[in-house]
Amino acid sequence: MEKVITVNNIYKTFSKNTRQPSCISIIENLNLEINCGEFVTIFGPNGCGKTTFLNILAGLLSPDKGQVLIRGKNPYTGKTGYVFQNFTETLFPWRKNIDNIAFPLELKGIPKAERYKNVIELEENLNIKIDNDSYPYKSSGGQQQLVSIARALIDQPDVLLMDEPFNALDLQTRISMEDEILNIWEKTKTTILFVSHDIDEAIYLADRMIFFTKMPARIAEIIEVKLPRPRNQQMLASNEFFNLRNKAIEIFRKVTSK
Amino acid sequence: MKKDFFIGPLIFLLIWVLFSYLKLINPVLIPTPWTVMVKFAQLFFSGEIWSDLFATLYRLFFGLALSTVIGIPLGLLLGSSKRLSNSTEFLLDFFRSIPASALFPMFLLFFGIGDTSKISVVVFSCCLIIMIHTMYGVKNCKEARIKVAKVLKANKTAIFTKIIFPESLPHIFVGLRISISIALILVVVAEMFIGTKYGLGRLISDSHLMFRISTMYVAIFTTGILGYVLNKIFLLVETRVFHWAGK
Repeated sequence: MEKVITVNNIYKTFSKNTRQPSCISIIENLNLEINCGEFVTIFGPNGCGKTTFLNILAGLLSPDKGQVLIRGKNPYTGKTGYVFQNFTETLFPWRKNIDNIAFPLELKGIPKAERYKNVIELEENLNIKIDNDSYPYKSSGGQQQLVSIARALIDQPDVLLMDEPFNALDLQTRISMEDEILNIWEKTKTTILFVSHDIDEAIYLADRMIFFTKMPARIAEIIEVKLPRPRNQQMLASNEFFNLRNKAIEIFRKVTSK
Repeated sequence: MKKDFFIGPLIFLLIWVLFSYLKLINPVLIPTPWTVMVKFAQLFFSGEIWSDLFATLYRLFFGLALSTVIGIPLGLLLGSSKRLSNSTEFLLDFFRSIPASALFPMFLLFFGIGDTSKISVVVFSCCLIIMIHTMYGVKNCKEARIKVAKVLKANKTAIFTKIIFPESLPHIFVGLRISISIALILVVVAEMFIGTKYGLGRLISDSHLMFRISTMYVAIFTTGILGYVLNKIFLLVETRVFHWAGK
């Protein structure tokens, strides 16, 4: 199977402040391979370096040691989509929803008519409903996060990175967004790396669920989630899910007590 | 227009009428509203006041335009460089603290009694205001939005023109609106202090000296109306164009 992400033995440290040489190690000896079209969730303790890891994959930071490849390319040239938790702060309020989604195409210099055509095609293909002519701040939280996801997908990235994207949403919206992202994933077959703080969400969405250790982040364990697809929320009540959840909680307890 | 909008102005008018007709205050100092209105109509229909109004408007907008052209680029520069803004912070705060009217004599020395000295006072004050608001606009840009663009490998120019500049526009516009009020004050005072042939400030001080009290009130009201209308126009643009501000 083709590997979309290969992470080879990476290290990352930050210096606490510029005057002192004392450093905090954020990531240590992290190795990971992610297959094409896989849905992988990352679960770990608070502040364990998950966001730093995503930033490295997105090419915003570079590791001190080791190598990261996105489809064989350096993350600085690779194409990644990134969906953030704080959607209000990452959308552009002066742009209509459609112009928010088309932003990556605009950066590439694609003319307006073609951009709009692409956005409308994407929305139709994914079967998502977005009020294109409205503004993000006039839209609901779920709508705003859909706009962010569409913006991350419009330029067909090699991988979609999602950093706790549904945390700020209410439970009802969150559940429907979980199903929405599964629907989008099934239609686009995009590889998704999804950081979650919610154990049910992390299991429900995943092909593989990766547990990070406390800082410095390494991979503590990986569990395969073999629940049938397409998934539905009823599965959360199944025995299979219950067993996975117990296993996950057990691993998490071990990770945090170390 | 809000309900009850006219109640305040009506009471104001009523008190004025009461004071002037009952002669509670020397009628020479407060003419009746009627006298002032007649004077108002006279001055506007005869065309006498127009040259004063236009002279004031000309100085106001020329000064503002210059301040905008100088202030915005400097503010953008200050906002983008921490080093630059830190090293000029004291100077900016200090110059901003000088009441511009204290500089009239100096500008008079430099530029004489013509329009140049009056406009330079406006530029001195408004330029600083616009600069500082622009700088805050740039500094207040959300880091997360810049991150979005960086993930998409946007270059510096694109980050500036497509994110930082649009996001700081509402701040810049607030700076402009505040500048308009300051500029009006300064132009009127400059016209009184430095002197000129035409201008609302000159009309006010001349009619005061010649004891044409109703004319003085007409000129005062005209500056008030001017300030009110300009401020309202700017507020309207702010709520229409920058409806997304602070979101």
